[in-house]
Amino acid sequence: MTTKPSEEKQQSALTFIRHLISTKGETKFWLTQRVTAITLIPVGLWLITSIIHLTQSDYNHVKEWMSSPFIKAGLLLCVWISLYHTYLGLKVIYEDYIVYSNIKKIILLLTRMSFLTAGSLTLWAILSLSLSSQS
Amino acid sequence: MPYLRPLSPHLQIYKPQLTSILSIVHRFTGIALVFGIFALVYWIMSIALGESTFIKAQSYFRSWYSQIFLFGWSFCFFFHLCNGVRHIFWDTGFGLELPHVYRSGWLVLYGSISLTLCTWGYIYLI
Repeated sequence: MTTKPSEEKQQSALTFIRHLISTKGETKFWLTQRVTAITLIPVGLWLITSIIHLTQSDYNHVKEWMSSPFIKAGLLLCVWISLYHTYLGLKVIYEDYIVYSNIKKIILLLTRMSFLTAGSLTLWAILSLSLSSQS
Repeated sequence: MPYLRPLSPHLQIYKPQLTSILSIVHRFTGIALVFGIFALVYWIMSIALGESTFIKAQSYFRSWYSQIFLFGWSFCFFFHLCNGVRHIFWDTGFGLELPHVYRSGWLVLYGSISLTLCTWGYIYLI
């Protein structure tokens, strides 16, 4: 089977355009970014008012505040959703401004690793607080 | 990967006007807030690590240079929040006419500045 050179050219142009407008998983990405954003409106407002009220508190008061399982769950949720929302946002910025796909992949991996570390540390802190308060 | 994807136009290409500036600030506040989250994680960890670590963390946060950072983060938080709400309105098809875009833009700017000032006024004066 032979194709004319002009057809071949058209074919490669089409592949190029398909690559540029690739919409694989983009709808899901868009929706996840919006869902995390909307969730963060009440959660973020709750967090900032809590922090404002705790600015003058001593350790015992803060620990007492943290003793409620709802507060613990709220804090964990807040950090995790924020990290995820930030990860999605940073991914778009990397895609917009980093030329080389290898560097992009490395930076994305570093971001993911540091965010996973931050998320795990928060989980560890919350778990150790709930375990120590039981004993 | 056979093709390099096109990049977004770099920042100096945009004529400074409210719409472009707010869009750029939205991204910058988002980036700044990453470090704010890390500070929050450090604070939560200091509670779990015990009283002496917590007191050390609190004294860090109360130092003047941390207060500048916290002030900055609080503005970034309120700005990103207000402008995020503006974006969600746009996503549902509201406020896309140019005069509305400008009005909501000024509202976001003044709103986030006053929310930041109210927050710090409350912390220091009340």
